[in-house]
Amino acid sequence: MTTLLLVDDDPDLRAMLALSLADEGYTVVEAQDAESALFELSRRAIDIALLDMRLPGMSGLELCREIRRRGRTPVVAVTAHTDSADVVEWLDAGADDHVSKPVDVSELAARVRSLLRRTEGDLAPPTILRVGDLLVHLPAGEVERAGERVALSMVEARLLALLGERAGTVVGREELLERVWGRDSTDDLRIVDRHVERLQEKLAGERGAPVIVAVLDAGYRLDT
Amino acid sequence: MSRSPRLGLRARTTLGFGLIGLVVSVVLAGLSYAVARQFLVSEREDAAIRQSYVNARLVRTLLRDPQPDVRSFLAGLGGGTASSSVLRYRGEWFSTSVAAGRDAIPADLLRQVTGGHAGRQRYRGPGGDLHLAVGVAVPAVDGAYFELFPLDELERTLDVLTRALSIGAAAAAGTAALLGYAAARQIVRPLQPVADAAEQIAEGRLDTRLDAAADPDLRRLVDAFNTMASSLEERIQREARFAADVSHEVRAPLAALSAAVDVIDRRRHQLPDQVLSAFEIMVAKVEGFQQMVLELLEISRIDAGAASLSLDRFDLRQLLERLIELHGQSGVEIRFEPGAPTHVVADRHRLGQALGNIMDNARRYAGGLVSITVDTDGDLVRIALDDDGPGVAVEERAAIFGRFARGDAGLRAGTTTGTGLGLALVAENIGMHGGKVRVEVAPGGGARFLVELPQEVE
Repeated sequence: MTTLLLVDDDPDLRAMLALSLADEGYTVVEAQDAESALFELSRRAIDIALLDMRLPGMSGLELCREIRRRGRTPVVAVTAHTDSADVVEWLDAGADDHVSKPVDVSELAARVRSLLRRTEGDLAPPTILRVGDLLVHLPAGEVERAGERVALSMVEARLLALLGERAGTVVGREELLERVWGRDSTDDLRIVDRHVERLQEKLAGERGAPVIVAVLDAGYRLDT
Repeated sequence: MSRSPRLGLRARTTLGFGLIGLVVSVVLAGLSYAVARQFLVSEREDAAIRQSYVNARLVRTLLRDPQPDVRSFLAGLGGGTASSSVLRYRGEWFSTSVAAGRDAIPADLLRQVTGGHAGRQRYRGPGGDLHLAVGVAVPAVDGAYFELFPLDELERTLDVLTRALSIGAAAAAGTAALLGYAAARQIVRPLQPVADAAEQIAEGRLDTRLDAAADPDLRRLVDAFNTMASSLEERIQREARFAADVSHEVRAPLAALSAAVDVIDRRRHQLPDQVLSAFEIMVAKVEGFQQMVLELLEISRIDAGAASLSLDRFDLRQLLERLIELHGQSGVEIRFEPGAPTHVVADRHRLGQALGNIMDNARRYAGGLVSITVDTDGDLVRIALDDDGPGVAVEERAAIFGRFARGDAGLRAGTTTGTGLGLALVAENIGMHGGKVRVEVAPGGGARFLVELPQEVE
């Protein structure tokens, strides 16, 4: 059973979304502010956190950064605006994906499903992909280097795995958007760019790590 | 309110200075000329008359001689001047020059001197040269003495003077015009930064201000400009903040409402039939209302200047193909004309939304698109979306991009379809790119929505 943490200060919206998400087969834990959200996170296993921006006290963005600091729990931002500036802010705070209000529950469920695809893949035989010095465990998406785990978010690990599978060839941004996030290819591609950038930054610190190259008009290519 | 286009400040000042310079220098040159001429001519005439009288007296003395040798005497006169002497003596004419004889003397003067008076007259010789003729009657010996002086040298002097004065006048006028130009430039120059700042504000850099320490004469202008810029910036920020607040306040209840509707929708099989039909209406209206609110919020954000472009370079064909799929179009032919760019720089989301709205519009009123043609025209990328519906009447072509405007087709389809904002949002989104959208007649007779985007979006 997948457990979702739903953080929103509007009790009505929370109740309605919780009902719909329960219909989709998820266990929903509700929190009305950042403090109770952090409490729930420490108390039980949460698979995905859904965060609203405006919360009493600590804001949704700050909560997102805090969750990132504590671990790999994927975060989906529920943004009030469709504006690109807000989306970028969320991505910079470490959000893995975003949906805009009013929330389309089936869309939200699709977002959640693709972030959790590793659970669907549990039946597939586990494989280990070698990308340069790094070992990417599929389908869990955990990355290891010389026995040490590398702190990549699940989305970053999946990006690395996808690029690694086809190392040396260009993978289109639209394809990454569809395969990693399960989003439509007409959606904003900057979610891909931001996450690739962060992955590049993390890999840049590792000696002998693969390099991800942006190819104009095409996409990204991983060179080992 | 002038009907004809007025000249600029610089042109007017230059022209004014030039004209004044010209008038003053022409008057001065004219006066100089008149005085100089008066002086030169009278001096020359006085000298000629004096010489003529002296010579006439000599003639009288000579002619008292009973046997005068008139010819050699005349040849001795003149004292080296260029003048010629003509003498009438006892009805006979004598002359020192072959060219200037009796015929050369003006008739009026001849009559005057024959009548016993002295006289002088200026005349033009057969070659057009100016001469002065002086005649003195010598009644004691029944004679008349004439002396003819060429004045061409004087005329040449005056010519040179005229030329020099004209050149001087023209130079003075030109100098005045240059002075005027320089002065006007000096006056206009401090306005340059004001114009630059105004342009920057118009381009969206709202924090542009003028340097308050500039020219003290422009202090008021600088202060007023900066105050205006500040209040403009403040107002735009206030509107943007308001739009954001409204957005949040309106979305929150709408989000709860639509989530609640969704909860019931998932349990619709539990609803009795009478309630179900009411619920169907509720679902449709909430959906339409939500769509309209979102579009309205988006338009007000654009109006408030709070919306921004997020530019990206992407494959246009790929976007078009996916949009066609998403917006339920089928059998649409996509054609890229030779030279049309395959990749464009634009806000992918906004362009996709705009093109998608046009597709929805075509599906609603014309049964969908039939073809999309991408072409280029200089700095523009043109995307033509054609349908084979009834087209849009000429008088409605501009109006359909207005807010809550519905064309004839929209009215006939009833108010249950569309928000009345879709095409307005198309125009706003394309306008944000510096592009344009309009509707024409497609080659097949339907409507053609023509989206024009600049190749280089700023």
